Amino acid sequence: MTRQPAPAAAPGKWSTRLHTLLGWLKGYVLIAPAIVLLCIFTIYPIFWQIHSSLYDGSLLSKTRNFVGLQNFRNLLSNPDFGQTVGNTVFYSVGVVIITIILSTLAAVWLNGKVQRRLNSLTLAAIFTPHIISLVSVTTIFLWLLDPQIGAINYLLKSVGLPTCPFLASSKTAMFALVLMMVWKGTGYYTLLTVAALQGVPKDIYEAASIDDTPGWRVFFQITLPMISPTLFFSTIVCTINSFQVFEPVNLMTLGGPANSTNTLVFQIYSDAFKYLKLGQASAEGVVLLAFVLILTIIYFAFLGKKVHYQ
Amino acid sequence: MENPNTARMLRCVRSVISAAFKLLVIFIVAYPFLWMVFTAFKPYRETITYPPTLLPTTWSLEGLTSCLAELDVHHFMKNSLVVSISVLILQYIVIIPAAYAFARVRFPGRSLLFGIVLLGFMIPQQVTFVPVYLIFSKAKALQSYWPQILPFVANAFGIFLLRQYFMQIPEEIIESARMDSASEPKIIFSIMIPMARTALFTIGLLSFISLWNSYFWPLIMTTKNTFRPLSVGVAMLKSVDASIPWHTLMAGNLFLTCPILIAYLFANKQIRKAFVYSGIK
Repeated sequence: MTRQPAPAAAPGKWSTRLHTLLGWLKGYVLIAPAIVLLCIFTIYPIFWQIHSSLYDGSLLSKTRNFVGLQNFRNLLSNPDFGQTVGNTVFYSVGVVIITIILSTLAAVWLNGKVQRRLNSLTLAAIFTPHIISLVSVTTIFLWLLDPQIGAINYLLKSVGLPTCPFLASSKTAMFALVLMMVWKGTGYYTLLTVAALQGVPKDIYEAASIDDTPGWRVFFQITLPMISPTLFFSTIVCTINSFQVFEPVNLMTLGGPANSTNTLVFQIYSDAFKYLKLGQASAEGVVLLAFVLILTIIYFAFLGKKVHYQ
Repeated sequence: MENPNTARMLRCVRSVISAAFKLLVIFIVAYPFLWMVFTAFKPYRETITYPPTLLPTTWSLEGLTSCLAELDVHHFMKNSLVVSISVLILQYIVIIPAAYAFARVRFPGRSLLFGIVLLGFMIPQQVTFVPVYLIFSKAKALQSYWPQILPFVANAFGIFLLRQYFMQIPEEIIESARMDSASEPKIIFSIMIPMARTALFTIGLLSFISLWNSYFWPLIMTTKNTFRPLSVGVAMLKSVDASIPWHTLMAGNLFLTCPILIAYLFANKQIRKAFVYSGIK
């Protein structure tokens, strides 16, 4: 709004306009601290990341030269980076599929009418790992997954199954990390799904029970469609979180053995702070950013649709 | 025709199996934690026995004392608390007015500016850590608590959640307060904050848990033990000395997980509710 001189004949208009302006000013003052901080710590870094991905140079160099898309070309031609992305996708797909299936089954199972107290106790228990620091979870699992003295191999051996090298072999290391993160995350998604189940109107189930519909049909034809929005959101959130995995890699495997557990964020971290290749780290950051943005757009597109049709 | 007795027995057997299976699940989840707690109280020779044992045969404080000798737990815990409490206080000061303005004050560009909040909500730390590190390095502020505090003050998720709450408060209540010529701070303090208690509690709880547990961010933003939080300190135990005994490591992790586990023991319903609430919105 431009500040035009008000006609002298209408002093009342002046004061209304001043009032509105003051109202706006009040709004801006109230949001200013938050917006300034968000601009510094979120908006600026996004542009910095994109800009920096077009330059060479390191964390220590004073000047950096424009290299265009060279950093991205380097990434594409580097088989190690291909493997890193492949590892990240493998890890994410593994964690998401197992977590969502397990949590859905657990939620349906623990939402039953019988044994309510035991159900509630089980829910409380399986949620616990979600609020525990990954520092502790990874340390405990280093022992549990230890090929020689760990509890998991001891259990496998004592029931007569073959043991697994877990983190010691490039074939099984990523799978071991997936296993650990499923243990950590399933409880959280179970809680979300239980909340969704409790929102399903009871009369739908009553109709099914009159018809004597078998349990599995009730699950696939009523329960699953009714909770599908929650499952969709859980899947997206779980995928975004999994794609940013860093702690298990840094605390347990350092990307090994033989690059088999190297992930995108661990690569960005190593390139930026260990090898000081700032341009390349930024290009990798842009890849991560693109992935997160695509998933977020899918998320909001769906959210918009859902709100629209309700 | 089915015998009603067999049917009842079948139901009974099924519920016993179901209960047993639930107990098994509880045990699978609890076992790693129990192992951590009990190992911290084992003497050294019991931590390396095979087959592995859960309960110590003799209880010992060896792990705790060696952990305290290796790691200045008191110092790191103080750092964790300084960071979490500073973030909590500054966060409330920044997000309450912002959420109020986004919910209740009209001004041009409001939805565009709210877009910035949504963007802050979505963009993960893993995308922003390099430039943010460089900002603090240029500002010569790496040797302070600020890199661990400032980026979390404008809690975008908190603004988002609080705004939803503030929007649900009936317009008449605010209008009548404005009629009584109550100032904006007064409206915020006497109407908005009391009515959004649950949301404020949820935001504080979630922030505290995530700050206390965070490892990635403080790892990058600190170079000296002076400012490192407990999570990084405990993780360092392992990297300093590769042959560090399990009971020392587990004692360190006990210090790290204890506050959260105790809080969860006493307030598990509220904590779960907070997480469900944040997940659904």
